[in-house]
Amino acid sequence: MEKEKTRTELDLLKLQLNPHFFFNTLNNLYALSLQQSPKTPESILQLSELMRYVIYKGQQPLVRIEEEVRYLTDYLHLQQLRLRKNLDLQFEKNKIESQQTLAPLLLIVLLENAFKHGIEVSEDAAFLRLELSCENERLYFRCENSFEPQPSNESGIGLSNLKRRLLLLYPEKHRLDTFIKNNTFTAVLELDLS
Amino acid sequence: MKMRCLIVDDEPLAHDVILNYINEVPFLETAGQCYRATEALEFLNKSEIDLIFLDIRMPKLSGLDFLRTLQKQPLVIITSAYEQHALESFDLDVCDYLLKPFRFERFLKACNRALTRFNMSKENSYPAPTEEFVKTGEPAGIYLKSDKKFVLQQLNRILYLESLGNYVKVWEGAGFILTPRTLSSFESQLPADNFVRIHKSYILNKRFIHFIEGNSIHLKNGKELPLGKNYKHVLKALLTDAGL
Repeated sequence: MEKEKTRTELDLLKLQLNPHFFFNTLNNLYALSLQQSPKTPESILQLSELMRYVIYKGQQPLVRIEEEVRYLTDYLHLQQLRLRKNLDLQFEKNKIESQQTLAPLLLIVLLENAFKHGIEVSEDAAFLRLELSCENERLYFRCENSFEPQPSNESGIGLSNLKRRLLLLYPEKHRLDTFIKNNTFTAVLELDLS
Repeated sequence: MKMRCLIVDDEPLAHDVILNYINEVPFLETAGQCYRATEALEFLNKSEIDLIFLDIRMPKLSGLDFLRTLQKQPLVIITSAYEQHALESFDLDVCDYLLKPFRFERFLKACNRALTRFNMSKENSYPAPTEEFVKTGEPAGIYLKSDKKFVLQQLNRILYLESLGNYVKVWEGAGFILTPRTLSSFESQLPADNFVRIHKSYILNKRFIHFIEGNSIHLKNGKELPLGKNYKHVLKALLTDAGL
């Protein structure tokens, strides 16, 4: 009974396919196709991979870390289509044991947060630096993005959902820190996957 | 004359689609592009814009909040990925609501709607809310009973009144309100400085006279009204009045 309740709550908290992202990305693909841009085919494939991941893999309790990473990469490509300025993007992948498993759609929340509250809002050049390592059942993910304090910067619902999911999925086995310094927002997530 | 358009959207590829489409529509031209609603506010201060293609979800200031800040709103077509703001948008009197992605035919339909409104507003662009009525202590509007409603009618927008038996047609633009009253009762109520009886069946708002020829008074919208046999004296008063 208790287990059932937890499962229902987890399903509710789990990231749904964000319709805003989805339709705006389709609009961008439509624009590319009208221009007969050579980027069109690749972008369509990235979007379908992304949908497949959210719809099918997202339902599974565990996925391989390499699958989650591919998902993050597709997401980053499609998000960049939406930006006016070039994004200074670095994705540093340290040791990643590709067969290691973890709960799906956790890491993406930090990326979404970075785009929504940092990169999309910025007037000047924006940056995003990601660092990921996963070995010996320990995951380390660091997400740094440019950030301009806004008058109404309510901490997103995304982050608070993430905290709740971590509490249910990895009780006593996770650590999530966020801090702001010199117009940079940093989030660090550590998971014990044992 | 082409309608001058402004594109407001935070995504550059969304601009590309609309730019392409505008180029295909003979009565539209692109006058500007903004990537933030705040930019658009500045742009409107500097330039005359007839039609805005407006995204809703944008950082900092949303498209709808942007509309709420405008004193004088140009025509607006919303372009959004979201359906849920449609009701709220129509409350803000937008011409149409396009869901992204949209095809050219749907875009054109929205533009035709905007064009209809554009032409209507040009016909009605007579001297704006008439403070002169207020200044002289006269009412700026009157209530007209129509069907089971009482409709507030601004005086300065009335073109003319036409009697129809026990009813009067109060004309504004291309339409009228039919109200159960006699024309004479209006004659005593309407400010004499602005309205004049020209015929047993007509009272005219002087500001809409274009020219007078023989026994006809031609209005600015092309309509022609007869000058009644017993109202010839009005002609002289009209000509003196206009400072001729």
